[in-house]
Amino acid sequence: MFFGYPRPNGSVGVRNRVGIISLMDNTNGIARKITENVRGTDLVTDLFGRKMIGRNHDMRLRAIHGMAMNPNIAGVVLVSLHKPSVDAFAGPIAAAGKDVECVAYQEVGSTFRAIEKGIVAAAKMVRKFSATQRSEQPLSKLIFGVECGGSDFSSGLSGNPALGHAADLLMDAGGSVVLSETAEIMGAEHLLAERSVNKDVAAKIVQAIADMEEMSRMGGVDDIRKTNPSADNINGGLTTLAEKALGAVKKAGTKPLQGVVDYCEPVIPEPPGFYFMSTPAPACESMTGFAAGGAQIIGFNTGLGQPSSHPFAPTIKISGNPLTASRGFDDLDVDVSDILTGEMSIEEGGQRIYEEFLAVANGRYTFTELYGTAQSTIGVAGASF
Amino acid sequence: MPDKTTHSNLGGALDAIVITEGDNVAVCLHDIESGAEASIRLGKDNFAVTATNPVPRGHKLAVRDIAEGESVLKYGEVIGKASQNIGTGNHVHVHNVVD
Repeated sequence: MFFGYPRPNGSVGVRNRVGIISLMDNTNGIARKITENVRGTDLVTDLFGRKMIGRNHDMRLRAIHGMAMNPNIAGVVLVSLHKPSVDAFAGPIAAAGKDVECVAYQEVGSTFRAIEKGIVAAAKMVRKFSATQRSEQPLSKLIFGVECGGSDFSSGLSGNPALGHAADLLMDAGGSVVLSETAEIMGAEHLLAERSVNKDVAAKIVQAIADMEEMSRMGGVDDIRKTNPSADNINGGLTTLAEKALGAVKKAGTKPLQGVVDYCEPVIPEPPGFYFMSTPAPACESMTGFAAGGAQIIGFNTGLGQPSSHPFAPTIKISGNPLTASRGFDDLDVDVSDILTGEMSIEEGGQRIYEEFLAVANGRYTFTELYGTAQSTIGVAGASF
Repeated sequence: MPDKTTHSNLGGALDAIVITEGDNVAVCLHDIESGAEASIRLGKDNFAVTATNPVPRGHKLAVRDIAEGESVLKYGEVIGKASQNIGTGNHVHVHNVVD
């Protein structure tokens, strides 16, 4: 049980923000200026915009629609070049029951008139939704995205196992967890297939890795399986590819795999439990997938340090490396580095992370939420793994 | 309280961690000399294993005998198979493990 913001479509947010979404690179600056001038707003910008084709076009549509529909977002202001581009997104968002206002540069004619229109629309929306109250909600409404980045030898030893135990605790209490980064789980896909609830899901997880390897070959990268673990990995103690992948998979806990979704597809927690989303490996692209999929909170373990968070999903930063934890005391929400000294068990570390998760769900701010440094990046197929 | 800012001092008195109950290897927190008695943690309990090889930081040490062909277990999962008999306290790595 937690206290969250109910939305018309039945989803529940842990925050009550207005999203300012720029649909094209040419309006990113205007969208940024709107966000800077209205409290209670968060910014998502775009690159490459409307000229994307094929798979990337579809991914971008899902990413933007998905992020607009994130339960933490009460309403959105879309900013773009012209009416057709805002309408393309506004229609489906409004049909899904979410407030949406549009700013089309070519309709108002100037930078400052576009900024003004956006400020007025955003301010009215923030004011309207400031009346929304938190109410008692079941944990089954929560989706927790688990992320790791800036990994080092502590990641597979302290940080990820602790995060995985927190994931299990949440799922035991009825919530859901999403794992991502297809390239990182290469080597463990057969184990995930064995953990799948049915053959359909098992086939999907194996296919997700196969698709990623095929894309990498088409991109001119030699067989990525053969060069993993790398010489550095082996020097560091990783013996097999499965071991390397399992160090990453460990952060998602031990529950059966309920489903596999594509990048930025909605994660529908029916039933609640463990899900996988196929995403590129870089953190901001992966977290954008989580936010678009409907995750309200992200748990991000870092060994060496990594500053990012997602603008629409409060991101709990965790480290299991004592040096990183001591230097990053104002970035990191949870320090589980005492696992490496024996003063904390992995289970105790997991319990700490889970308690932080519940606190954040109920309103506690994460450090990175407070700094305005969040970054959303929509991944591009075939460009990064 | 161990000095957290000394990177080489990771672990302090603790030498290695078994991550999941049932694993037959522990991961070393710092370089362990051959013949040293390694203090190993599982959950909240400690036990000792004598290292029979030098085991570098981040590498694995067998906490039980692992017969040739037997699964090497870490994270509660099979990460590979022993390609030769491995004794308790042996370094476990590419020289005695296959996919």
